[in-house]
Amino acid sequence: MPKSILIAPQEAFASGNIRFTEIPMNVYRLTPAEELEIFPAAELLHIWRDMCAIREFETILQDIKTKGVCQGFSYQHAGPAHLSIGQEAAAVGMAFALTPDDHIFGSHRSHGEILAKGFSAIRQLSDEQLVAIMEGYRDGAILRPVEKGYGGDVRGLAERFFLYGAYSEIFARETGFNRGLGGSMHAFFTPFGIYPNNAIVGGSGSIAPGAALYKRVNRKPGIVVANIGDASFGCGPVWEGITFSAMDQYRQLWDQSLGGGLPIVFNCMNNFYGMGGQPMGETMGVQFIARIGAGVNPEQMHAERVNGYDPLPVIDAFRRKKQVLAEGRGPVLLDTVTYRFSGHSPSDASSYRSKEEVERWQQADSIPAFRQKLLASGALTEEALEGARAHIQAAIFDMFKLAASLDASPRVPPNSELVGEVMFSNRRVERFDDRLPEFRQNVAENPRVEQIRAKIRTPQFEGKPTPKIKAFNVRDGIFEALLYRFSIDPTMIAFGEENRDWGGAFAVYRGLTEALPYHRLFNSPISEAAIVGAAVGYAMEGGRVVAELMYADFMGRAGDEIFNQLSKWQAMSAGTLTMPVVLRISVGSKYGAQHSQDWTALAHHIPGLKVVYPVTPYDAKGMMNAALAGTDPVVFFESQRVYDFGEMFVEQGVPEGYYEVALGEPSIKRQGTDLTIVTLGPTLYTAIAAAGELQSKHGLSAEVIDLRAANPLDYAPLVESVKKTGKVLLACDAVDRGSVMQTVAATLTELCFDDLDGPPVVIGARNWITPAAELESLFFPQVGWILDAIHERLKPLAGYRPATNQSLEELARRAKAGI
Amino acid sequence: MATPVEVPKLGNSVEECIIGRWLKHPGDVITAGDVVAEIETDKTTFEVTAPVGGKLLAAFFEEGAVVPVFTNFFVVGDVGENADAFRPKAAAAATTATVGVTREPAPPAAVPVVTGPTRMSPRARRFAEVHNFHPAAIVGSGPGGRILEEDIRKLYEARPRAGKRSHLRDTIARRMRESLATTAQYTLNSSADAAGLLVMRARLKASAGTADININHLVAFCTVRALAEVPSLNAEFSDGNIQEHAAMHLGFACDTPKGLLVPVVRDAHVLSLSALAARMRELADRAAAGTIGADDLTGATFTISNLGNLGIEWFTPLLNPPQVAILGVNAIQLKAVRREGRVEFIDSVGFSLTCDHQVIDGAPGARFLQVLKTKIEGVEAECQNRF
Repeated sequence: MPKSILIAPQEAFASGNIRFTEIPMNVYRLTPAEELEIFPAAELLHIWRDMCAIREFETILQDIKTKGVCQGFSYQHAGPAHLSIGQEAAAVGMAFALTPDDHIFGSHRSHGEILAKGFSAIRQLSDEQLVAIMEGYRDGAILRPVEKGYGGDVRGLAERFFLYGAYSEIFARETGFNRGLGGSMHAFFTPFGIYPNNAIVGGSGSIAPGAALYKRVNRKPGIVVANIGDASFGCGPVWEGITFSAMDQYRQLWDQSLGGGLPIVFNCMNNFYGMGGQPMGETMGVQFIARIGAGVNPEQMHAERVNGYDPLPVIDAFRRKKQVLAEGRGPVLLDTVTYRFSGHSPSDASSYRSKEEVERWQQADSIPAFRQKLLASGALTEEALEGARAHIQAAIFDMFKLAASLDASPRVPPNSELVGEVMFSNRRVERFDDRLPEFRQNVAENPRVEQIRAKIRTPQFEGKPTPKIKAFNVRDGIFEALLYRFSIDPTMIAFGEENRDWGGAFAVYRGLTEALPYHRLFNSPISEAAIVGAAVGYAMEGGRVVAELMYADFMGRAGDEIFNQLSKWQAMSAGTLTMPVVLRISVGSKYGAQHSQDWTALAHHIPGLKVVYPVTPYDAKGMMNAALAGTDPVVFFESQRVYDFGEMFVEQGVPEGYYEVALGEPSIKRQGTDLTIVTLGPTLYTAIAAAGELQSKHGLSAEVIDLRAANPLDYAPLVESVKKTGKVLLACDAVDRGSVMQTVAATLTELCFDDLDGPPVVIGARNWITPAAELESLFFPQVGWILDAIHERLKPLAGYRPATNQSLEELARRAKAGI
Repeated sequence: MATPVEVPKLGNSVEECIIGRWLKHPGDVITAGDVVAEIETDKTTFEVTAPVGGKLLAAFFEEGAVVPVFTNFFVVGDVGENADAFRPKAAAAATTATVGVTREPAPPAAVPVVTGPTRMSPRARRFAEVHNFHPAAIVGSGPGGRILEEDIRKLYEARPRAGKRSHLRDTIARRMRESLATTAQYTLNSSADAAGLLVMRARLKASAGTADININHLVAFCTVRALAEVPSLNAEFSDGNIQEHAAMHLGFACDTPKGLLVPVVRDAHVLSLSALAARMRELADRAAAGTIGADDLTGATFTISNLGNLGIEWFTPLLNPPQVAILGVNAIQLKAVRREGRVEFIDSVGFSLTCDHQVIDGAPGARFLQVLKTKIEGVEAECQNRF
């Protein structure tokens, strides 16, 4: 895309070979003596103890899941527990090499990783820092039960605090890290650099790159590690995350002072199995996950296969890869070999592997093996080792019992509104950091800003309707709102397909290329999952982001990221995370079946998303301003039909300065008394035309209300209108079945039943594919359909002949036929 | 081509029929000649057959509906044809059941379409409740004849106004009924030459101090003088007892905005003409203004009611029991009289005297009128001593 990269035909036709280099496997060769020189005994003891801690933690969970009792203590755990017994060395080795500034993301099987990282961070933070964290986290709610009767040092307290918070979260207690709303698969604790795990396989694969992006763009220290399993490399979002992380532009087009390639390690915890499917030999063809690196970039992602059954090679690998990242040569792919004795879940009967296989791995168990190595080298005595093990096991068992106690660790009461309260943060943040926002030029000299200055912002000019070509339009409104927030919040970035240079496929971003450096506005690959996933990760780290999907029809490509990640993290984290993401989605026009769909209904159906759809310049600018000042994920739909429409409703025009239009407030675009027409999206303009005809030809005064949003939605203005008119018709360009209008119609029936002269009538597009542009009028609601429906179902119009069939019989026929 | 079938006129006097029974239902396949429905008049039941084959596309009325003759009541045609064009104008009792316009021979659409004689929208229903307005027949302008709020509102705003029944009206109504029910009243009509009245009136009008004394006052004065000579008419009859009064409390009818009021001049027999006139005027003003008190409306022993200025020639004033007589005064009209062998035209004022025959027979009543006539015709002299 950038003109600076010339694609020369001669180069393209030159013959030759693509070269690969060998990918190392298990090349760690240090002798125990050499290891002792690198690792003081104290550190080796920490490593040993951490591995024992994880083993104990997981074993307790396995006992209560399979037997309901552990060491005489009974407890029924109803939730999931995906255990990683056997994988301790890989987790401890990974975490040992990391600092609290290094952030890890995990999978559904990440208890070991979070414990290892927690202990590692605790050892690196000062007592003051630890106390501040424990007291500060939810005002000490997790600390209170733990510190009662504790007489040891701060480190020990911090470890108990962490174990207790983790167990509480797994047992869905209020004293859990996420107040019980995350559970085993989403437990995390950001003060120690532990970022969310994910129940969706490979979920972290598209999110972690966003976190790494945040560190790059905002010049923050530390790296990002995505701990995902081998089977997750079958998932599209993981590939997209890798592609996103390996973009050439980080090292070839961006300001190199930022640091170069993304600081991310994709660490495959390769335990040879998905649930039961076996990538190596059955469900994939790469044989070794490390091979994938060779297909990504010339550096082959510095891919390496590492023995994860010995912590020291893992530490060695991570230390080397951290260096690679520090030099800006990331991303990195590690293939860490490990194995789990426990099943996928406690209900796993292990029908997919032989007992012999499990036994052989148990014989190679990393904990006895490490113990053996330490004793043999004389680094530590048996007493020291067993003492450390017993000590941590006792602490773990204590914290388990404390977390299991409903007195000490209650759940939220049965009628609690907690989940409702954390679905949205509803906060206001002007800027997420205090440094100066970076621009390439003085914004006043920006060509787009100059072009807009000459535009007319009012509906009328010199007594006549403003000509379209001179009008300040919808895309200008969105541009102004974005530019404003870009100049306030230094963390704000935007990306998507054809965003830079092209200026966005619909020219919303025209001018921003000149204004902003690469790292604030760049092109992503054609990887919708990575686009949305990176936005989620970036927001998790605490930055504001505007991501774009070029067409609503592509939402399917980012389905998991929109519906399982973007929408849920605020609630799953019980409000510790916010999600200041605006996801701009453009609804197509005249582009046929796969490029013209309005999927507002899907976004509005999934809880946790604010969904808006402004179609006037005044609304678009005001609502984008409101979205960019908030902390909630906003799916911001735009219609390609109306990007070039000027303001037709607000007499005073679109203000030049800053203003907000609250998200979720419908607006009356035309006052009337006889019937109410409610619209969402560009159907507003069809309704206005219909209202004109109703008035001039039939003497009916229609009130037209633009919802402007699907969720949240304030019904008060709608109810007031229906109470006045008694008749309501709802229209949208989305197909009518399951549309937002059906929800609004049903709700209005409840709220206004006695005010109604007839049932609410919903008019949407036909439940078909969108035909070609030339046949559009067959498919999308027309002025005639609205009048026909009013005539047929609300109030017969004198002398009127409907051209289409809007009868109830037709409604039933279509439903029966599935169309 | 869809074929509608009308309700036939089964006899010269038959204007409407009842739909008795449907033998076919919308969606059924019909052969020409099939009996589709039975209709009834008060004399007969008649089978209506299908004129053509096809499908029964629509049946516009339910069993039991009363339908005027020559109204379309079902339609036979092919699948896909629209029967709607033949639907009769919605009446309050109209119901419909139609089959959907299907693209293929699918089973009949089990579409529940609104039925029932009064399909009121919730909003219309609420209006009826709130205004306690339940008219027998409302025509709905909504789809399929649905009654909308505007339909019932229009009827409500056009309803005949009952008007406000005042308490006074109720009282007058009751007393008038009682008057007719409890007395044996009859009316005697006579007249007197009005020349004297007119001359005296003109003279009084010319002088500032007497300009307000009118003919009504003069007649009242003469009536009081006549009553003095025929006191049997200044009496009350109640509980079977006749009570003649020495004092004359003269009631005189006033037409006020509120209705008929009868102020009473107490002791009219002692008043001079000017005093009587003044008192009558004052009471009349207060009656018209609505400020007259109850005391001034009771206790009359005799009533006079003048409808002359409204052009009444003769009338039957009703008694105000327990009074036994009431004098009605009529318009002054031209009358032909024989004088000294010649026919002359005089201005003549008519009197209509209603008496209670339980107390006053015709002769005494007539004698009163003779006395009155004398006094009217000699009004100048009558008033001289008592000005």
